[in-house]
Order: sequence, then C-alpha cells, then structure tokens
Amino acid sequence: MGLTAGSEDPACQQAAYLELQRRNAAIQNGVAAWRNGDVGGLALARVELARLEATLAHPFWSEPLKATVDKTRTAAAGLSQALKDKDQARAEAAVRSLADAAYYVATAYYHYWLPSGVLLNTAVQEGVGASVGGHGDSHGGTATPAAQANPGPNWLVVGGFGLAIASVIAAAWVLKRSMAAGDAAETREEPVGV
Amino acid sequence: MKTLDRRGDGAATGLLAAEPAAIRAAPPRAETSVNLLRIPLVRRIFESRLYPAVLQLPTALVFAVVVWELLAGPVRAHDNFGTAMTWVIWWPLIPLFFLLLGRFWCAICPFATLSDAIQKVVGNNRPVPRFLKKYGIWIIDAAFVIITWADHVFGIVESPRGSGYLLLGLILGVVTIGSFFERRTWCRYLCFLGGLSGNYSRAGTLELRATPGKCAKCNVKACYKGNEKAPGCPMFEFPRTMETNAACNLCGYCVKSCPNNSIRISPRIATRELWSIRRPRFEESMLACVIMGVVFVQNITMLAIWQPILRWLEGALGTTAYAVTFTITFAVMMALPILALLVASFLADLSGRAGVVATFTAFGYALIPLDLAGHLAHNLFHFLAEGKSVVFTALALVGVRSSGSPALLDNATIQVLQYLLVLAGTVGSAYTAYRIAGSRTSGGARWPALLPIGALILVLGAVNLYLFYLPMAMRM
Repeated sequence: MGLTAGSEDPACQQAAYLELQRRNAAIQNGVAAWRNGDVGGLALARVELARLEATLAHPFWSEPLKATVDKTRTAAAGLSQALKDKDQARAEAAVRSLADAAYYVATAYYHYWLPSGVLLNTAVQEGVGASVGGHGDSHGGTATPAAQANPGPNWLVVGGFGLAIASVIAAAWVLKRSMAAGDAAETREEPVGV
Repeated sequence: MKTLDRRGDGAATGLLAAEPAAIRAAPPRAETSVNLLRIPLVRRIFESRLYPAVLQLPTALVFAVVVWELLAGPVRAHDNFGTAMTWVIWWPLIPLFFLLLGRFWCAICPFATLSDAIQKVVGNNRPVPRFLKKYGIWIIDAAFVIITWADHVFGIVESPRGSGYLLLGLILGVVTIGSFFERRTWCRYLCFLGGLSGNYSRAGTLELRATPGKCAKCNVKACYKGNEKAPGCPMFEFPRTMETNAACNLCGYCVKSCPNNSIRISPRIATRELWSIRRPRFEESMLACVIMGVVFVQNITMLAIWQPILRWLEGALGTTAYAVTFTITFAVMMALPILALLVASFLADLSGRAGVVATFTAFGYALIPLDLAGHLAHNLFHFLAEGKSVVFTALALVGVRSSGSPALLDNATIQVLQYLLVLAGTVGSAYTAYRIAGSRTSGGARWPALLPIGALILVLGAVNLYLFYLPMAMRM
C-alpha cells in the first residue's frame, strides 16, 4: 500500500485535522518559550512546524476545508521563514496568523465538514444518497452503492407544475380562439353597422 | 408574417397605442465615432436570419439538460451537472457578459426563447398592463430580494431539487406572461435577473443607438413595429430615442428591419452611461443598494465568521430557528447600504438643496460599478475554485468517473483577482459619483456634494475587500 493510499478517506482528513490543531498548539508553546529566553523553544517550534507542514500536505482536503487549509499552509510558510531567519518579531506575528488560520479551519471543520458528513450519513441510511460525480474531493467521493442511489424526480411537484403550465397554455389557446372568433364576428357585423 | 404585429394593422391591435411617448419626439443625440456594424462580418452576423436563433437553440438544449438534471439527477449539489452549470458557470459568468456585451444574454436566454415559442402558438399579444409598466421594477426588486432570501432559508443553491423548482416556477411565470402579453413582457418588466442585468448593462462597454440624422427622415419606425425582415423590438425599445442600454438585448432585429441603416453598435468606456443619466429613477437606485446588500449577504454567509455571528444571534434572540436569525441578518444587510446612501445623500444635499430623495436617486447609480465588481469578485471564487466540477459532473453524466481538484486556479491567485476587481469597481464608482456630482452642481459645489458619497463608496469598497480577505465556503 502506498503512503498516500487512503488520503481521500474522510477518516484521514479527520486525523489530519486533529493533528493540525495539536501541532499548532505545540508551535505556539515553542515560540512562547523562545520569547521567554528558552532557545529550545525555537527548535521545538521548528520541529512541530515541519510536522504540521507534512500533515497539511498529506491528505486530499475536501472542499469545505480546502480554502482554510490553504490559508494555514500560507501562514505556515511565513512562520517557517521567520524561524529560519530567527526573527522573533516576525515569528510572533506569523504565529498569530497561523492561529487565526487554524481557527478558520476549526470553524469550517465543525460547521461545514462535519454537518455535511452527518447529512450524507443520513442519506446513506435512508438509501437516498447521491450518485457520484467521482471527483472525490469531499467525503462523498467514496460513497457506498446506497449513497449512489438516485431517488429520481418528485413527480408530484413536477406534475403539479406541468399541470399548471398546461392549464395556462390551454386558457391562452381558448382565449385566442374566442378573440379570433370575436374579431371575425366584428368583421361580419361591420357592414351591417355601416 | 414575421412582425410582432401578427394580426395585421398595428393600430387595430393597439400596438401603436403602446408606442412610447418619446417615439413622437426624439431628442437629438450626437453620433458616436466607432460603429462596429461597419465591420462587414459583424454586420453580416446581425443581419443574418440565423442570428440570434443559431445561439438560442444550443442554449435551450443545454437548459433542458440542466433542468432535467436538477429535477431528476443526483440529489447532492456536489455531483449534479445542473447545479454546476447553473451556479458555478452561468451565475458567475453572467455579470461578465453584462459588462462586456450588455444584455446580450437576454437575446439567447432559454426563458425568452420559450416565451417566443409560446407566443407563436397560443400568444394573445395583449398590451402590457399599465401597472406593470409603472411598478414592474419594484416587482423585480422584490423578486430579487425574495429569491435571495429563499435561497438561504430553503437552500436553493445547495439543493439541485430546490434549484429545479425555482426554474420550474420561472418557466410557469414565463409561459403565463408569454401566453397573454405581447413581445417579451416578462423579460422587460418581470424577470428578476432583468433588473440586475439592466443595471449592470448601464455600466457595460457596448451600446446600441440609432443615428439621429437618419431617423429624422424616417416615418416607418420599423425598428419598433417590425416589418417583413424582422419583428419589432421585443424589449419595447425605440432605438431613435434610446438613452440607455438597460433594456437592449442586442438581438439585432432593429439592425435587420431598419431601412435606413441607422443602427449603430459602439464600444464605450465602462460606466460611461452612468455619468449622465437624464431621468434617474428611484427604484433603480434602490436596486443598486439592494444588490450591494445581497453581495454582502452572499459573502458573509459563505465566510467562516458567519457561524460565530449566527451563534451570537441565536444567543441574543433566544432561538435557533435559522429562518429567524437569517431573516434578521438579511434585513440588516439590505437596509445598511440604503440607510448609508440616504445619510450620504442628506450630507451631499446640504449645499445643493435638491432634496435627499433626488440626491439618493441620482447617486444610487454610482454604486453600480461596485455592485458589479462585488458580484463578479464573489462569483469569481466559485468559478475559479470550482470550475472543473462542470467537467467532472458532465463526464459523470455519460458514466465516466474522474477525479482531481475542481479548482482552475489556486486560492491566493483568486484572492488577488478579487482584490483587483473590487479596486476597479471602487474606482469606477468613485469616478461615476464624481461625474454625477459635476452634472448636478456648478462651480465649487461639486466637492461638498461628492465628499459624503465618495466616502461611502470608499467604505463599501473597504468592506468588500475585507470580506474577500476572509476564507470562503464552496458551492459544490
């Protein structure tokens, strides 16, 4: 099995998310220690940051998380440079950016990713899950056969609209016919009136 | 007979009575220097009997597939070709169409094609009701707001079925209006997108006008009434007196029917039409404010900060009912640009005394470039970050599985493009306000009138920039 096998699995993203938050906290501790004079804090921050970057790069992040993860990656790159330059002021600013980015990942995780997973789970249980477009960039990418089922149209609603449209067309046709008949009658009547 | 006056004499059918008042008293208008119809290929296209039908047909076919997919395809937006085509391709690209080609989309819109077809079969061709002419734009304003609200509360965009039912509802409206009323009454007076497109097309880079010198000698008015070559203007426009491209859909009927080759299609500087609106309308300025509010709502609800806001609202209101919390947010977002422009208009009017409402009406048009930029920037994200989903879902239609990121560009690049668009919109709005202030005042009165409006535009631009700085959720 290759190292990236299963990277599209939702469980992989879930694990990566937890790892992301853990490493982020560790990086903050490291930079804080460095600020307080502990040189070991810098080394710790560097190690944790390298692990964070590896974690960010591993799974195929699904759409609800992708945008925020991209921001986290950008923030991590900024911090990496600051740590490499041993620039404490820049590192502290970059840590704040990283914390902000991680916060947005958390928001996306809890409010978009997990709820949509619950929806999919419900759909699978009900046997009305989606068919698969196959682009596998969300937790639906590896949908079960049940999730691929397509319930088809709601014929009651579609039929209702169809009936309404047909009624309108019929009414317009009747009106047009009656108006045409009226016009003909007027034409016939005109000579009488004259 | 190809003319819209299908029953013969226009006077007998009331068509002449429906002529705009201006048809009898056209103001002179300077000729523009460039006429694209002088290019033989362009003229041949516009004069061809195949234009715009040759474009209407494929559009209608794609529309039919989209409707079917939305109603009968996968229930997850993520996998639905209809959702991808509608909300990732069409909706993001439509403002760009308006900017570059005015309301050209309206000439090939499947709803308009359907309306024309229905009219041919059962059309009663009755004159447009007076209340529609008077209040149609308010109906459009209201429909736009209601549809946006309904989208959030009932999840129309996220639900293929919801999108499908929306389209079915619109089809019912189009069929009803097309069956009873003449020309494209729906498109001109009721289409919710028509209000948006009208406003955006004013800022567009293309205009269709007649040549006053040639029209002065014309007494057939074929462009309005139609003749054997083409129907009369489906949008009830009379090119001789046209001052705006808000309704013209570049269908080319007037190019075909004009016996004097009077019609000109000219490129122009974006936003130019907004600089000197002769008869500004309050409802159009209101729509400009409403669109700004809609862009704010669309942005905020797709940002990560929306959930904390929602939680706070739920706590403050003591309810978790999304319909309640969202409706309050929505009302505030709609009201904010209106109130802000009212306050700015009050300040701008301190020196002029033209009246707050008149000032609001005049300067409302200055928001249109920023509206357009905000709308484009917001949807640019969906188009560029999710664009490939159309390919994936289209392939899935024929049973081909494909995988990969749906993004066409990386987020950082998209963000830079969004910033550039908002900056361009802010500059366009500020310059438009500058020109409007100049046309309404004399001497040194321009700056006192401009400053409050200019400050408002800068604030709205900055808010837009900030919103685009924050990470946004996807549609698919």
